[in-house]
Amino acid sequence: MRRAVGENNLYDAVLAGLAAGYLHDYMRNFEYAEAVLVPALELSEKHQFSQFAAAAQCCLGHVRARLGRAAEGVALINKGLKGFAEVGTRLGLTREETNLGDAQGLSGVLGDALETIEEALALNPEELAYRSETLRIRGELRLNQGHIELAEADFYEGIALARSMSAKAWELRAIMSLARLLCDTSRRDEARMMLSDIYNWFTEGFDTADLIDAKALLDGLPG
Amino acid sequence: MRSPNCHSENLDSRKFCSECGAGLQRRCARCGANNAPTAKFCGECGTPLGASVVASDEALVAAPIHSSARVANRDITGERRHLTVLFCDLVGSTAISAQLDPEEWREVVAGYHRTAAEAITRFGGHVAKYLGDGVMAYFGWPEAHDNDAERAARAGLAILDAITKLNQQPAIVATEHAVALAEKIGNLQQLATWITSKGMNALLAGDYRTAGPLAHQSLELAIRADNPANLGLSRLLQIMTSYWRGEFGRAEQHFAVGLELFNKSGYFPDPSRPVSDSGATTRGYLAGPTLRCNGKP
Repeated sequence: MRRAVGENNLYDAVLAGLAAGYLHDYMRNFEYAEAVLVPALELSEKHQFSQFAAAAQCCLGHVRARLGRAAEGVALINKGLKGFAEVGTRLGLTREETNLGDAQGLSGVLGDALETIEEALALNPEELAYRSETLRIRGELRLNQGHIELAEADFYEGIALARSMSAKAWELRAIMSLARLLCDTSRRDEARMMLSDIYNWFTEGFDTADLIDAKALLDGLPG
Repeated sequence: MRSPNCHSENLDSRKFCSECGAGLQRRCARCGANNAPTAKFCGECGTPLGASVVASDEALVAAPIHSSARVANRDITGERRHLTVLFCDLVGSTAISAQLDPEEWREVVAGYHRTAAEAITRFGGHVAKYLGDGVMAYFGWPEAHDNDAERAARAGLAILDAITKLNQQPAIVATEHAVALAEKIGNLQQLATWITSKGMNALLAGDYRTAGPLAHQSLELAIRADNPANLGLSRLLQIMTSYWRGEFGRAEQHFAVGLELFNKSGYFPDPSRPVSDSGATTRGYLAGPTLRCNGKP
């Protein structure tokens, strides 16, 4: 992003800012993500890159919701989705809808959140890149409502899909959700086995939030 | 000077009566001089005052006055009623029309007219007139409802919604046209470019089933045309399509090949700074999520 700004290539600068924003959102470095998304949004609004402005709003909305400003995040994602509709693109909408559902869940409106997640699942069943996360988040929401069996089914479905796609990051997240659910039951051995398998697959990145959490979870599940 | 209306006395220099507001001076239609309100002839040029004004006005606008008077008389036989009128036209239509062939433009406008008319009719309105790219509709005539204003507002919103969907149409129509033209001329390089564009349209619509084969087709064309820039773009399309379909391994393979092609293509102006791990934007954008999902660099 710095290089593109230096070369006065604002289009690439916005793209780079967005890419960094999404990446750090995935990695749960939310402060960092916010720091790159704010200038990316400003640049795209100033130079009327409407589709990038919409994408930046959606991503920044999710990041802010995760930073504890859920209501603000929901409003921003809705604004971004409106922008997507105006531009007419449907590329990646399942991810933005999933993020909206997550932000709504964080703001405490579980009914709305579940409805949004259902929409995300129905929107474009061929868009699978983010679907495993969509399923996992639906599981978390259902767990919050006390529907333990439904939640468990979602986590398993998310794990299976992530495996079929070799999407290790999503697989790790779904297994962690399942492990948290199973840790107080008689099936904690099964949880520990799955978690240690996926944890040991990784060869680096042990300083990322997900792997730090996975390690802590494993340590709490002695065999 | 005396007012011709209330007969109050006013100063000679005044133009209007300070009591009743009536005009105190009569302007000569021929030379423009001011005369007393009761004067029959202009004190400057001798032109008859009252009569001559009517005569010269009539000379100037004779025909329109007669014909419009007839229309007005006919209208009086109609009925006075409340009417809500909705008018809408396309923003920036002149600019769009300049970019398209007349046939394409006609198709776009016809599509828009159909869409607008459908929305208007659905809410009980009556399409009164098409004016170029504008549509005028009545709510309350010939059929009246107790909420015509609301119906008009709702029809307006429905038109906006429908137009959003139509907005992609000019790009899609133009691409189809370009593909047909390139095929006719037999220009491989252009055909490769336009098939890639077609694929990009499908990708942006989230239609990966269409985008995938188009990406493959454009790649083959680019190889035959021996154009590295087109090769790179086709690969980009393949990467994006595979990525969003969740085929991360395949996206990564396409990516490695595409990166090499981009470097060879001269797409980046400074060849001493090829796209690399150190900070290239294209790689960053495409690789970030992909690599993360695969869990390895």
